Amino acid sequence: MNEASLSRAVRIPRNAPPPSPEQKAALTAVEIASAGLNAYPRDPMKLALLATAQERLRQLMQPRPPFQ
Amino acid sequence: MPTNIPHNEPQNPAPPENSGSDARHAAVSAEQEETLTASLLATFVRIPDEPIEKSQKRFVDEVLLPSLERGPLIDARSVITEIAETLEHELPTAVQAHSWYERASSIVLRTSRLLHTIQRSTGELLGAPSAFAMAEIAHHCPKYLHMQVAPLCKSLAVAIEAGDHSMAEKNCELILAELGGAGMMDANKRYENLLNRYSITDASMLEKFSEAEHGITAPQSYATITGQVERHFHEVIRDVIQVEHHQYQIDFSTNQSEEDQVGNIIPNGGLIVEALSELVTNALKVMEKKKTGSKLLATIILKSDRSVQLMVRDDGPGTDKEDPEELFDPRVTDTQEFGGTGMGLAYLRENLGKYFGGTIRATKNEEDDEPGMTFMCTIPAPKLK
Repeated sequence: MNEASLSRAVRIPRNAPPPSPEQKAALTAVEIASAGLNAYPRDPMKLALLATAQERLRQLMQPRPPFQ
Repeated sequence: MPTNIPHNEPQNPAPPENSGSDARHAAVSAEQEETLTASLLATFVRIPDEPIEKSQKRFVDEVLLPSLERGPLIDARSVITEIAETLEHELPTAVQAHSWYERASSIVLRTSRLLHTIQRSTGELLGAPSAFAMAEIAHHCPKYLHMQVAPLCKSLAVAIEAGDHSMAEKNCELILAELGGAGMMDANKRYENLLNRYSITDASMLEKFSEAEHGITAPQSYATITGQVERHFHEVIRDVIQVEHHQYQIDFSTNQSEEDQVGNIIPNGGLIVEALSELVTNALKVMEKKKTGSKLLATIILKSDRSVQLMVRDDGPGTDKEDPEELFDPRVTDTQEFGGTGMGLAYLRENLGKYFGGTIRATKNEEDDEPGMTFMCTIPAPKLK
């Protein structure tokens, strides 16, 4: 790895609390919904399902500051 | 129950392809990433008498995180930035949206390869439970990176190609919302925000190690095991399959009576849950993909020598592979449309064989002309310490 590559390195968030059970469940729901959309890209129901799952996850993540 | 076949048949996502300088750049990057990871693994040393939790934390800090941060995540941030900047100003072309999807897929493959390399060394460095945790991370981390933005970009490309303007607008709106919304948000903030939401953080990874350490060898009853597996696949049925109005019948069985289970706790319960979840959800995805089959039988047999035999049998379409053993090769998958990475069965066989002395094999159902597949898995009784 050369210097140029090192200087471009990005950082994974440190010391953020691990996800709560609710956040994990919401994450699983998003994972499953996105797999459904990946399978059927023009299916409005899959799109709506993913939007709902996204929104739920976003709401659950709000109380926690995303980064310091 | 009638089966509702969607108007658009699932299509295999095109394998990510780069061209010209992009391809050369990606090749060099992948090579550099692998070299860096190899050197980080080579320099990691388990200190004698160091508590396992401390070793795991050092492993995450010294090997796992730097490998990702100096590797594929650099490109992840770059594509996130490009998507957000474009969508704030205009609707992309279908080619552009598709290239985002392909780049995201390429990042996922590189991440998966890198984490698999790390996983192969984890057992020797930190022991079986850590290797299992690492397999979990290697399985989920790429999936999280792939989900949301990638399928939405694919959906956007398809909508633009079809001239479906409202669907395209809706996709753009969702992608931008996922990336933190419109406005001049700093690229680093968008990126960190996403990683946080996808649980790609040091704390989440450490939690996987801790859970594996305390859970993978923890004894559980048959009812607990089937309960956990059921919860997992019910999520798949509810959110992916039920909306297609396809119905499945899933039966669990065991040779242990309720009374016997009280005093006859099944060892390696965590491992059984992992194995069954993988096999059952794979079978459901394949049956849903081909709209063939509706019955699934999952059997847990506790033998007198305390070894456990798992059998998952479905009446689905089987596999196109001539030799079903190919399904255990990394990157070979029949469930890609449903987000399968092709790594689940490969990890399962490696973990079972290398760390627990177990076996797993796949066969096509041929007797009585019954279609479908049967997976048979044997887990030896744990050695007493």
